[in-house]
Amino acid sequence: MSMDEQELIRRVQDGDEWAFGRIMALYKDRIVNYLYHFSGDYQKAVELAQETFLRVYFKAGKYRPIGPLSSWIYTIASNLAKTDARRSRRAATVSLEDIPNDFASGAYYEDPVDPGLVRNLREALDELHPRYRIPVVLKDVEGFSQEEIARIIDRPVGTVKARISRGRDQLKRKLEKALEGRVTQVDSEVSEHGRA
Amino acid sequence: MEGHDILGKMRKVGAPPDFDQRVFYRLREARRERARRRAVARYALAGSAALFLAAFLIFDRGFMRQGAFPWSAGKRAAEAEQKLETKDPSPWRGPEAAGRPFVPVLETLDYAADVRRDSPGPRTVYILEQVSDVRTSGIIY
Repeated sequence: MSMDEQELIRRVQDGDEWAFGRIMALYKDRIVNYLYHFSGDYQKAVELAQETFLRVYFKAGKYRPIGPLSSWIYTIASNLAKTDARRSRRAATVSLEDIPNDFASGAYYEDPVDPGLVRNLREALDELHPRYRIPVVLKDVEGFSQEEIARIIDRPVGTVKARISRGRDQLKRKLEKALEGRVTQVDSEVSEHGRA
Repeated sequence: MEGHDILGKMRKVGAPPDFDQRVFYRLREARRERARRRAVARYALAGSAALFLAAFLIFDRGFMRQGAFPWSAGKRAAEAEQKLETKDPSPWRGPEAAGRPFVPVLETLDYAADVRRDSPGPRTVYILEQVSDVRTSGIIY
C-alpha cells in the first residue's frame, strides 16, 4: 500500500489526474472526518478537505518521501484547519444530528453513543485550544500513534504526549462540568414536576 | 467514562458523494486562475519595465538640457551667468567666445587646511609613537 502511494504521488508530481483521484479516494473520508471533528462544522470540513486536496495536487512537488503520505496530507489539513480556526471564531455550525446519514462510506460509520453526551463532548472539544485539539483528535478519533502525530504537527514526541495528556484532562474537566450541569437541570425539573 | 474514550466511539462522517467532482472542478478553476495570474504578472512586469524606461528617457533628456526646468539649478546658474555677462563683458564668456579655444581650469580645494586655519584653539601637535609587542627598549623619544 505504501509503495503504491509513493508511486501515486510521484505520478501526481507529473500532473497525473488519475493518480490524484486515487489518492483522493483513499483519503477523502478520513480527512473530512478529521476536519469535522476538529471544526465541528460539516460544511466547513468538506470545504477544508477540498482545499487540502487542491494543495496536495499543487504542492505535490514539495512532498519528500521521508514519511508516509498520510502524514503529509494530515499536515496540510491540520495547517488549513488551524488557519481557518484563527481566521473565523466559529460562525455557524452544523450539528451531527442534522447531517443525513446517506454517505457512500457506510463502513465508516459506527453506532453513536448517547446524543447528549456527544453534544457535550462536541462543545468541550470546540472549547479546546487547537494546540491540544489537533493531537487529541488525531490520537483518539483517527487513531494515529504519538510518533505519527509528532511527524504531522512537526513537534517532538514528548511535546505531543504532553499535549494529548493536557488536552484529555481539559476535555474530561469540561465534560464533568457539563454533566454536572445536566444533572442539576434534571434534578430541578424533577423537583418542579414533583411540586406540581 | 473518559472523554477521549467516547471520542473514538463518536459517529464518523465521510465525504459527500460529489466530493471528487467538486475538487476536480475547483482544480480546473484554480489552474485557470493561476494561468490568468501568470499572464497578468507578465504584463505587469513588462508594463513597469516600459514605464521605467520611459521615465528614464524623459528625465535623462531633461537633465541633459540644462535649464529645461525652471526650478533646476542649471536654469539658475544660466541666469546668474547672464547677469554677470551684462555687468562685466568678458572675451571668454558670451557668444563671441564661441570661436576661441577653451581651457578648463580645475581648482582643487583643501578643506582640511581651511578647517585648521579657522580653528580658534591652539594647534594640536601629534607625537607618533612606535608601538611594538616585541621590543620596547629600542624606542627613542
